[in-house]
Amino acid sequence: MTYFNQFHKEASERKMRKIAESKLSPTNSVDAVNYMKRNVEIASKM
Amino acid sequence: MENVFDLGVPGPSGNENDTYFSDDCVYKVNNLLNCGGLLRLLDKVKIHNEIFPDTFYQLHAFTGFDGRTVMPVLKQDFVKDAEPTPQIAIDTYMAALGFDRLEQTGRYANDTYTVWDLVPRNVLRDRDGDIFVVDAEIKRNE
Repeated sequence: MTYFNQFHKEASERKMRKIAESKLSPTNSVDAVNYMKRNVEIASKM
Repeated sequence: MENVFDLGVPGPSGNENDTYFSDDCVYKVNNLLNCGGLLRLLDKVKIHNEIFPDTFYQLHAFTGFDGRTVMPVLKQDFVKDAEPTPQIAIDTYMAALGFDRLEQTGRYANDTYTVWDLVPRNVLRDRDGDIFVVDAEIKRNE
C-alpha cells in the first residue's frame, strides 16, 4: 500500500482498525438498513 | 448469482447501485450506468482501494439478466455510527490527502487522479471526526 502522506497512512490505518473492531459486535441487518436510510434523509437536507 | 435478495436486506438505492445488507457488509449491485462498462468499474474500484483503503471494495459476484446484461456485485464493510459529512469537512479531508478542490462542489484532483461526487451522502463521519468515503467517482488524469 502506497500512501500519499503520513496523514493518509495514519488515518487509514486507524479507520481500518475501527471497522475491524466494530465487526466484533455485529449489527442487526434491519437496524443497519434503517440507519442507512436515515443517513440518506439527513444528507438530502444538507 | 441468480437471486440478489440472497445478499441480504434491501437498503437504499442510488443512481448506479441497489444495496443489500448482511453480516456487517453492504453489497452494491452496480448497473454500470455511471462508469459505462465493467473494465472501467474495476479500474475505479482499484483506484478507490488505493485512495480510500479503509472503505475498500471487493468483487463479490456477478448478476444480471441471462444473455443480456451483467451487473457486478461489490462488497464493502459497513461503517457503523457515522453520519453524512458536511461539505466543508470533506474539503478539509481531501486537502489533507493532498487534493486540490476544483470549482464543482465535491470534485478534487491531484497530479494523478480526479475524484468527484464527494458530497455528504457519499462521505460519512464518525464521532471522533474520522471521515469515510463510501462512494466516489474516480478517474486517472490523462
